[in-house]
Amino acid sequence: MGIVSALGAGVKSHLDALVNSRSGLAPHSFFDGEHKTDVICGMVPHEALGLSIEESAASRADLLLDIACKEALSQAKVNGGCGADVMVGTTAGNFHGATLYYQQKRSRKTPDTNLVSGFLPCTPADYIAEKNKIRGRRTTISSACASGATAIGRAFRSVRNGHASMVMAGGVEALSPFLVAGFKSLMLISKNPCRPFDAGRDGLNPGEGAALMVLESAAAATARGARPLAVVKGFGEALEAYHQTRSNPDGSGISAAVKKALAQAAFQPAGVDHVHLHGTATVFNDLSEYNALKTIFGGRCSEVPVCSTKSMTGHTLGAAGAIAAVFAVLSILNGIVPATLFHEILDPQFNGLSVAKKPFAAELKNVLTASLGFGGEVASLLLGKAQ
Amino acid sequence: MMQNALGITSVGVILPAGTGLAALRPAQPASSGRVMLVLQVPAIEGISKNDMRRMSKLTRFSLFAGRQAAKAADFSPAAAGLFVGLTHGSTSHLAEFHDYLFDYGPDKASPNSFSNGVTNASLSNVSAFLKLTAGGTTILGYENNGLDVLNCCCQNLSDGEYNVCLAGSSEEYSEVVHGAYRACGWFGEKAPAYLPWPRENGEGVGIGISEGGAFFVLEPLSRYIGRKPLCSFSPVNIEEFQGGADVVISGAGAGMQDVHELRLLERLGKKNAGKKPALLFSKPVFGETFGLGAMLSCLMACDIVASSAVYPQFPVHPSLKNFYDEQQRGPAQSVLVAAAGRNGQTSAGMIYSA
Repeated sequence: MGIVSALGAGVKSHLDALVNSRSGLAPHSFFDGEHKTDVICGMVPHEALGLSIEESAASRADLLLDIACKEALSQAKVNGGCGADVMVGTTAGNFHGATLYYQQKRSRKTPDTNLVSGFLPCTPADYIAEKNKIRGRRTTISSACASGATAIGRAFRSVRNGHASMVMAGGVEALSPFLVAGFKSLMLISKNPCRPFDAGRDGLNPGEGAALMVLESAAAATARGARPLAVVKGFGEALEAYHQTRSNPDGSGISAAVKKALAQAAFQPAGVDHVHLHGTATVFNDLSEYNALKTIFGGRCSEVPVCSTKSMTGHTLGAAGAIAAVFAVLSILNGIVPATLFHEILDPQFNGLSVAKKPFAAELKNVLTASLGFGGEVASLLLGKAQ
Repeated sequence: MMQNALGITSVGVILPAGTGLAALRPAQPASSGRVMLVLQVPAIEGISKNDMRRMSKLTRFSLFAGRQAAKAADFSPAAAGLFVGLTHGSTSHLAEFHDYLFDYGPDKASPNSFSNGVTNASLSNVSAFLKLTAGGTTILGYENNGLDVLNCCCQNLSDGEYNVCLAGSSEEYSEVVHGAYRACGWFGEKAPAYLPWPRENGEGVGIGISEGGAFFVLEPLSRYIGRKPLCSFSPVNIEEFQGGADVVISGAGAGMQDVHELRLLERLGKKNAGKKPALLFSKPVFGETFGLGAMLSCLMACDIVASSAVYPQFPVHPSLKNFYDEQQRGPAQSVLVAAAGRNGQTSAGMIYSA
């Protein structure tokens, strides 16, 4: 697997952040002049990409995804030129380029035609496939903030059902003025580092990043002498059919997705050791997830430790579900339940929810992830220890 | 070939020429104008005028066509998967969002334009309106994307993930996209645009742009007890294709995908040894609709096998003359829909009579 986020580039820097409870959130200014806006966000550090957000505007998503892709290929010992399929989740691709196009058009300049690809959110999948000579089918999925988890889940189904032998799956999102302004317009951005499940939570911090996993059947991995890091056991998805931007507070969508993921693996909730939640720290998202957990685990809810790493990376939207999946695998491999940073006082309405303020060691055989997207798209992955 | 076939129960469509299957039969090439627009989306029962006004055109197309297909099929929404394909998303709403953003700053940007402009807005509105909760996703791609959406449905239905799928694509015209493609030199300035493989005299250079939405309801054939599908659809693995189609419909139309379309048709033609199917084109009839294009080719194929419809013919490329007929001679039982995207990815599917 490969990953890049505000915590840096590479699996190693993300494990270090989990162990040492490090956050990558920092203030950054968007827009100029009278509209200048300081936002606390999870921006990929300059040393990881070598380019500022302005310098990489029209291709930032391509470049982020390529970092994750190269690491994933290397760790899986898959050479460039492989026949793997590529399945990438994103919400906006390189849309910063489109914003610049609109800006140039308004200023009556002849717009730079290189920016036109900003209108095409499927370009990052093409970019990594061409750059790394990956010859399989390329698919780009948009399930809003559940895109990354949905891409991994659909890739899992594709391999399990024999439609593909190997899939590189994950998600990518690049910070841009468009996304910052969009979430500001919805009044969802916190002025402070976000505090998932906290009584004083007041919104999210936008973030960016990419994560990719190489998925293949156990038989195929064994045949080429590869050692699996973890196993995808189940995937569930659902549509809430509720509201275009707000999660259903009753949690019915996410509980339906989790139940499907468990059912697919013929697995009981009692076997789940830890849940890596979406945990954006918005009022409705966190409530929705809590109610889903109550539905799934009932009285055992307090025995299952949960976490959100949004206070480390920011909310990376289309990449979030894939980044959560990488964190979940790191938790399994290293026996660690991550802290939910900046969480201080549990919201009283989340009675019994077990949110760790500090990381702790635990044997984790099976970890669930949850992802919720705009428009009520939800996805859940059940990840387990490799035999 | 038929082993993974699915029944197409119903279709829904909205195009500049109208709604329903009737909109498919202008029976003449769309060469009179290089931009074709849907002037009005008819009212949709259950959605207020105010709500309709707040939605992007793209979402309105999806809602109209999706509902038309779903209503005719009368399926249970709880077990129905939902898949939507598109290339650009709602660029007109995004233009509006940016106008507010640049004029008044991020604090005054429009939340409605933002939520309507995100790429899964169309799917989320269809899901909420039709109460589809089983799952699904938006698939983003190029000119072959409509076939990828249908192929994805087939995979999911044959794997038993859903009982039935509502699958469609929508694309809206916007001045921004028009201007962008014009700036790149891809837009056809001289009529007639849309012609596959521009002629030596300069005719047919560049794309024309159109818009609309098309949706299918697909079910496994085993579910058709006591009833008959409109037609059936089967994904085609191009490597394993062994020929046999009566008609082939291509997505070539003076666009960036044409070079890949030509190669794809040559490959398919060589595999069709002994049979010379008629070669038809959807773009010269419906215009360039990007992510919707291959879906319209499939609708055209449905119309041919289910209703013996006849579509305008266009000259085939010289290198294809040995493999394809320019005339459709008699009714067709099977139509191969083939499409390439501008990135060189190719997709195919076969539509059979029921």
